[in-house]
Amino acid sequence: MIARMDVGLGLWTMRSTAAYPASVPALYRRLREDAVLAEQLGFHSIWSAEHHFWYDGWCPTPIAAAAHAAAATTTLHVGTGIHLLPLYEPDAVADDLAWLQRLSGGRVEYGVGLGYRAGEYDGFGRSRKVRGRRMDAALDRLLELGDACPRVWVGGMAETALRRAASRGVGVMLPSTLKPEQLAVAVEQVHAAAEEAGTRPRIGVMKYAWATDGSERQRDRAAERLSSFTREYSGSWFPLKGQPGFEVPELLDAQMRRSAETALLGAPDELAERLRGYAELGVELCMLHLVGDARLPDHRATMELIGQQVLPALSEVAA
Amino acid sequence: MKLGLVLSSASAQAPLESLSRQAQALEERGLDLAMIEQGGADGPPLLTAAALSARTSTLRIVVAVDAGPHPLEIAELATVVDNECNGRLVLCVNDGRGDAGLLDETAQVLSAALAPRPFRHDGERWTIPANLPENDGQEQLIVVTPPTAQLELPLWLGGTGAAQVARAHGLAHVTSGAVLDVDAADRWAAVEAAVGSARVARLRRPGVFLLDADASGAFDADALVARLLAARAAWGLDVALLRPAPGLDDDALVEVVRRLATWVRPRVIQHTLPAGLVEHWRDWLPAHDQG
Repeated sequence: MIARMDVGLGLWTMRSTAAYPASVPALYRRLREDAVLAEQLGFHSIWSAEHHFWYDGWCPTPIAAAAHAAAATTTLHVGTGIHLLPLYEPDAVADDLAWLQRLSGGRVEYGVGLGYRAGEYDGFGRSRKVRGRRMDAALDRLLELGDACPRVWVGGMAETALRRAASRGVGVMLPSTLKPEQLAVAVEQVHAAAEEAGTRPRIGVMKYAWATDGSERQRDRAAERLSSFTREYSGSWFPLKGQPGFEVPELLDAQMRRSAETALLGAPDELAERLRGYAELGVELCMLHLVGDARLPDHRATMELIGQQVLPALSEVAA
Repeated sequence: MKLGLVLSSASAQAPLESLSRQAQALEERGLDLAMIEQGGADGPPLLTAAALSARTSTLRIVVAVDAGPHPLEIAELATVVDNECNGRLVLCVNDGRGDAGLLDETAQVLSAALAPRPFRHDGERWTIPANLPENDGQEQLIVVTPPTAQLELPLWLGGTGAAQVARAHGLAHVTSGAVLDVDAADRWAAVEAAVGSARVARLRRPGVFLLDADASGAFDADALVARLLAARAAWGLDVALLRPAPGLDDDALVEVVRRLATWVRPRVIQHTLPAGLVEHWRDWLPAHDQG
């Protein structure tokens, strides 16, 4: 029997982009409406992400988004995927999380990451160089909360990230762009680090995803949307071999191909098959990152397709 | 005059349900504001506001936070909450540590950060952006995003040193009901002298008053009306935030709201009421109030 795997949805970022302009208050209204829909459809969780000082208004505080979504729902878990923990004072984050756990009745999934944009660290007057040390100290402070601490997920797949999670026995959230064989290797690495530390960390994975009718046409359209979404921020923010993405178009193109190749784009039965594979590997939570620039009707249609046709297939296997 | 209640959860087990019930009672009864303060048993107030934004639709939410954290953190939380509540947020920053300099610099950064234009700040405590060499910081100006939902998010200052700092920045300050009306009047006169009558006319004059309700939520409405009208006459009170005595349960707090809506609010809006109207309400409402 395959172990049960929770399936969550991401990433609500509340962005008003050049491609998909929208009213920002309306985007936050969509967040709470989508949270209600996700709960009705039986998803485990919805997740919000964090970036700062960017034209599209990318949500800078996913903890506040989680509080908002939690208040609109009763059983759905609310996650940060991810929160840039080293930017903040650990005591303040501990207060926030303990309160959010109480407000939500213990439904918080707390994903953390180092981030990569220097401008975000510089805005807050933090040195990007010491972010790893700050992350370690902050995680240790949060774990002192004991029962008030939500489930923690450390994002990333670098050895230091895996050891950071394994040594503390908290979850690992693996990134979207791993191929199946790379995912298997990463899971093995987590297990090895855990064995060394004598812990049993949970394993989660993010995956770009979109449910289609199975046609090539819809798959290509989904891939195009994914590219539109990731090209913008990868080109603007990712250093590719030390240079801004837009200045090295061939590397950026390769990054886009990698995103599309590793995404779950297909009919519900194809998605269910891939997800069963993750569960067999020991993944306990898969956060399906629905492409962020999707228009509302499409976005909800894919939520419904996955909720109505993929989740039941997974629960049958687990049962 | 606008009226509101200072919220405090009456249930340790289900704080959101308790706070929501109070906020929804305020909204249903046509009162204007809910205030969420820092400290006490409840947690970070801007997170509480993020949650209550999903449970209310018209109520103004006043959030009072202490100066101290990086002001960009306060600004970003405030802009997100203002979008979550579709432009209903009022931000109040208190000199929680009694540090007027800290409040002053926080107010300076927030005034810039809550506006929809890039800014730079070089102050005693913060340099924004910091341009640290190890960050390869190239940006000279920064903009907080998303922008507020409101064209201009109301920013108030509170605490013992607030009036002086607020005056310097042309902002409103919150007066404690414990301050003598004559002293409050002097402070507002000083604000007017500093910023001019045109600017001061656009500033709200909020005050926080204790509300001495019994365990059932009953209180002396006549005395409260008299207190509020005296403050309005003396120093221009136009937003009254009422802090109930601690220890009331949710039923009592809802009763407080009901009584405020019925017995206080109608009497503090106009300058005067026609003779006999209040007496008419006293005769008629007890039998006809829908509870």
